Amino acid sequence: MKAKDRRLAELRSSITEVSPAEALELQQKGAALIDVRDTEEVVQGSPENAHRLGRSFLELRIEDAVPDLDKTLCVMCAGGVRSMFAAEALKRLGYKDVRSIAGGFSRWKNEGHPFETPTFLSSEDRERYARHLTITDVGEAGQLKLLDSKVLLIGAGGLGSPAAYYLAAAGIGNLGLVDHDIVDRSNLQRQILHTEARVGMPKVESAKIALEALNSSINITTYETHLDSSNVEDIFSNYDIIVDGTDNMATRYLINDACVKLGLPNVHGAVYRFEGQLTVFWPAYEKQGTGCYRCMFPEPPPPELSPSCAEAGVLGVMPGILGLLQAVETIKILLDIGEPLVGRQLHYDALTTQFTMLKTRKNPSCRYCGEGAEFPGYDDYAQVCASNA
Amino acid sequence: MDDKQLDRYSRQILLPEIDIAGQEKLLRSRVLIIGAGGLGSPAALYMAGSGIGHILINDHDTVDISNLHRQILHRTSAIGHSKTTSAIKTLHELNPDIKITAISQKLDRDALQILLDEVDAVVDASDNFPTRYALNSACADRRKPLISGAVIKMEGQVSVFRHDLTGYPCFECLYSRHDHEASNLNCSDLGILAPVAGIIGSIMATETIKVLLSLNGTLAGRLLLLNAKNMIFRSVKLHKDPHCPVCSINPPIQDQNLGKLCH
Repeated sequence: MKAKDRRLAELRSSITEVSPAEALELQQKGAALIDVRDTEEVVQGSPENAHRLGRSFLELRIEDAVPDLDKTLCVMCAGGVRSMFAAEALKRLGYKDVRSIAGGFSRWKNEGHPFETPTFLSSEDRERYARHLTITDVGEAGQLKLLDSKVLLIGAGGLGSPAAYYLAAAGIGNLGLVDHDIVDRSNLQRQILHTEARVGMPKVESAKIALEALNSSINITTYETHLDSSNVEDIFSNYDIIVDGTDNMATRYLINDACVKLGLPNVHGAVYRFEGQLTVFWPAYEKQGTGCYRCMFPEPPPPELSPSCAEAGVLGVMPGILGLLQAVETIKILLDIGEPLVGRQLHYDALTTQFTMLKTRKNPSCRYCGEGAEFPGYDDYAQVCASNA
Repeated sequence: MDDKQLDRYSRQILLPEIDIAGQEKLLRSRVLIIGAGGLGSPAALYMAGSGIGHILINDHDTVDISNLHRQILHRTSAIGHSKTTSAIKTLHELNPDIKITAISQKLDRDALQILLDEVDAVVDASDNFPTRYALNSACADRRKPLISGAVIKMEGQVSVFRHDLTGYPCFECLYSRHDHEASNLNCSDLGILAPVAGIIGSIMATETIKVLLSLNGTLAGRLLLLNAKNMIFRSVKLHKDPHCPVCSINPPIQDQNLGKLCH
């Protein structure tokens, strides 16, 4: 008898074996299913909701996956042998009720129990996003989620430049860009997506060149169009989240109204001279009641009173900071980490380097997001200002 | 300024705090950026865009694929190339109007001090404590303002150390050398949420521009802390350490070897 067989026989007397059917029943009652096979095996299929920890890092990773030592663990490998050794290791680590699934995944599959074919990062993506994988708030599952996300940026200008750059770099799998403008030399002081050589080119085209040079593995969709009530829903309905990078009042209301109607989070940023503000409008947010842009400003001011105008001065780096803050909020919402800036508005004064937080309130009688409000339709306001921040 | 420059910087010239005189001052300014990585990328891009006339950028590293999730100065095609060469290319494409100098060798104390005499401000966008101490000490020696930032995971911090003025605390007043000098801690190894590096680098650029324009209200004597998880910024007052080996009136004898550890 080989040493491993002798040891296996010993283990069978101390580790309880369960059938796949029993394991599934235990899982449904709250037990954790631990798949200890290698990645190449797991990609062929793995039980739904299993913790795919592999064998080599099992002891190092188990506590992040299952912190409760009293929880029942059902360990799975391909045929039921490796899982015995893994179960023993987990018992020694302090888990009180550890069982091995007899027959492993092959029997699980043959008996027709539910499984899925999970996706993993490619080895190149594992390197590219290495600094995200070491953050517990992101990790492999989070990075896969980002790669599967769809983010729409309105404006490839001052706010959109840094937001798009970092969202592309961070691996947002599908980025949409809406802008009808062309690159002007006076943009380059703050719109870092564009270059001197691309002056005169449509901004979305210039942006796509810059973003693909940084990260060609993501999908970039460009909309060289003016956003209006006739196209807003068609475009927005393809995305999970909208980043408002316009300083155009009419478009800002349109974005708000469409986001309210479609239930999308609206990550809102704005800059003026040495000041900037950031908030997330998301009336459909389940965790917290929150209002929309119209709760604060029910109607746009007349053009002559609008503070937002192409010719207002702005320090180049101001939209940079605000666009980056928008990118962070976007990732937080996509991954459901931390506390998103809903119901709060951050104000930044660059001249004094003061950040102030204000509470924002929902207006219960808001025409768009108030209680029982029925969508009143889009208002096509006259353009106040044609240029992006 | 010629017409092209007036066009390029028009949105800044419209600010009364900058105007033509301020923009000309920026165009005459020289800034040394240590590090063309996560913090240096946004800092350099925004300073170049704003028309800082001469940017000197120091990094001895080459571009690695794992840099690209946050280091937007570089491109996939630059993997394996020197970071400063890659940086110069990107910065010049954004603004061909300014001078950019690449310094791709490690700087010893003497080289650093010679460089400092040529610049108006120094941006510490490095990622390790030995470099930070060496820079702080050299800036104290040459009386240059030092704009310093750091990020880790979803947190970041920024401050301005006014070695050019008297009475302000310095980096070593904040972090005692005894506690950190031996630290091999490299923040990027612990992970960084990509745009958090961008925020901190951009705030560093803002503070640098304020220093160059002699605007009040910089982070001198304050440390700005960001927790991006709940998006709370806090600013804490920093105190000058009366026994600081770098900036106190009668400092203890300095370690002359320290400069050799620099980046």
